[in-house]
Amino acid sequence: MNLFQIRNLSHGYTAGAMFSKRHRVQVLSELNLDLPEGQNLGLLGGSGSGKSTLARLLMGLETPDQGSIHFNGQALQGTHPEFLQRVQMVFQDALSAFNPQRSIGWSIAEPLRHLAGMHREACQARVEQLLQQVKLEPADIDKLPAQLSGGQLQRAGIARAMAVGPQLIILDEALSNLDRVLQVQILDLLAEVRRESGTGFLLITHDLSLVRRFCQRVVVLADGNLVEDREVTPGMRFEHPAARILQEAVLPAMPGARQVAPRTASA
Amino acid sequence: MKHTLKISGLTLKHRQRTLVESVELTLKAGEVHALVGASGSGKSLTCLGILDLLPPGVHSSGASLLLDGQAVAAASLRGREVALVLQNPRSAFNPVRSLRQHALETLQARGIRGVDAEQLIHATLLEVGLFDGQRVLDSFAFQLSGGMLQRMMIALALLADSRFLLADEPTSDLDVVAQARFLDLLERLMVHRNLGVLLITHDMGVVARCADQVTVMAHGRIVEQADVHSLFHAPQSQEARTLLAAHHSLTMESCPA
Repeated sequence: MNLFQIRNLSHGYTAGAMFSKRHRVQVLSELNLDLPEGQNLGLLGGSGSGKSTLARLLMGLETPDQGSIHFNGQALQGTHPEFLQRVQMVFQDALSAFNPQRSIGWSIAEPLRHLAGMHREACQARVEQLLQQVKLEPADIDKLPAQLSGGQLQRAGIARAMAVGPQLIILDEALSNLDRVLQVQILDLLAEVRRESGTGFLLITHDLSLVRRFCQRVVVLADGNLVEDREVTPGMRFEHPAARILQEAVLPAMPGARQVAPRTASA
Repeated sequence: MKHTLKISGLTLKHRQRTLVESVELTLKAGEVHALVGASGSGKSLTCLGILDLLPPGVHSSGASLLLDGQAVAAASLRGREVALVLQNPRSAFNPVRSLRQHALETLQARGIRGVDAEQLIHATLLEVGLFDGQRVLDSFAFQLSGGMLQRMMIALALLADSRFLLADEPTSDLDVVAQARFLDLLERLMVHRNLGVLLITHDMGVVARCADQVTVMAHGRIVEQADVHSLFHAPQSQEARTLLAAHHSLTMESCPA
């Protein structure tokens, strides 16, 4: 069963400020993609390839210029509570995704209050359970966003997305600002969530090593088109030039010899 | 003779609390010295401490700086012998001045003006891979991408004719492609300009890619110093092993052969 079905999706923006010439920037063109339930899909692309635009369209935050998005067989129509109960998103900038004047516990409970209609005691218990799941301290429940580190806050954001038990969580570069040790910890945590509850993830990133660790399938976005769509396997090699650039940019596992001219070349 | 910058006995305190203790580092021309550690281990403070650019309330004691064996003051190094590149390039530029004004200001400090300055600026932009020089120079920091701004930071360091570069997480905000190009540039400059680099990072992939020497920090102290091959093949400290384990769990599978 496909959770999302995207057909001939095109989208763009108007660029240019008040005093300069306006022009149209085409971000996605004629894109087709099926997203099955319970799968971890990696959406890989460089800066400006249209990854976040696709995520915003999937969440119904924007309406596509052309083409269609179907969710569970029905045309997607903006954000409404039934949809948000099934699809949640985590953004890259954790600090700006939290209300600075409210406690972490209050923010994590927000979807429980609005989407699940949970009572106070039940909310409290669920939030404590979620904090434990993302390996935050019980005492963090009363802290303000500014009192947590970037990594802790991002985990709180993931806890909030998991709160209502959605079928899909979209992670838009949600791990990019974290250090490697934390990235691995969080990916392992999410893999566990998927095993336990069947939640699928759409991992949007420019870093192929995260996709390899976490996803069953990867698609590569370049210049508004999907140029690769394949299963993640140990010896996987991309064929499209734009995808190869991303693959070759992955940093080496072990130190090697220098690739530039030898040091005697310098004065 | 190889230029060296030796930092020794760098201790940083906030009130009674010791944040960084007795750090010793030696930078050599033509080499990349990586400083690694988890968030909060004191890497960035060490970098700022070297140039005495500490945040209010943090005090340095007992540090000595030796440039080619001669004692020097931090204030006489910064912006001249030693340039600094930070993680978030956008906040490192003055938002109401064009990049041309930044470049001219740097050259003014060296007494270079007029046509000479223009020529040198254009040549330097080409050297760092900013091929659309006119547009870049007419732009303000908010109009350029993070990758372009990091190149511009390096260009300013080259314009100052600095021999050493301190780079604090210079690629953490860039995508992998921009990161690879930035590291290419760094390696090229190291070889052709004989630049000595202190590279602060938490990504062992960056270390594997371009470091010669590595210093590992944990809780404000140095826990290990080794050349890059020894560190990867036989890490001694727990901190290095933790960093390498995370790194390998993400990359081992993807290394060809």
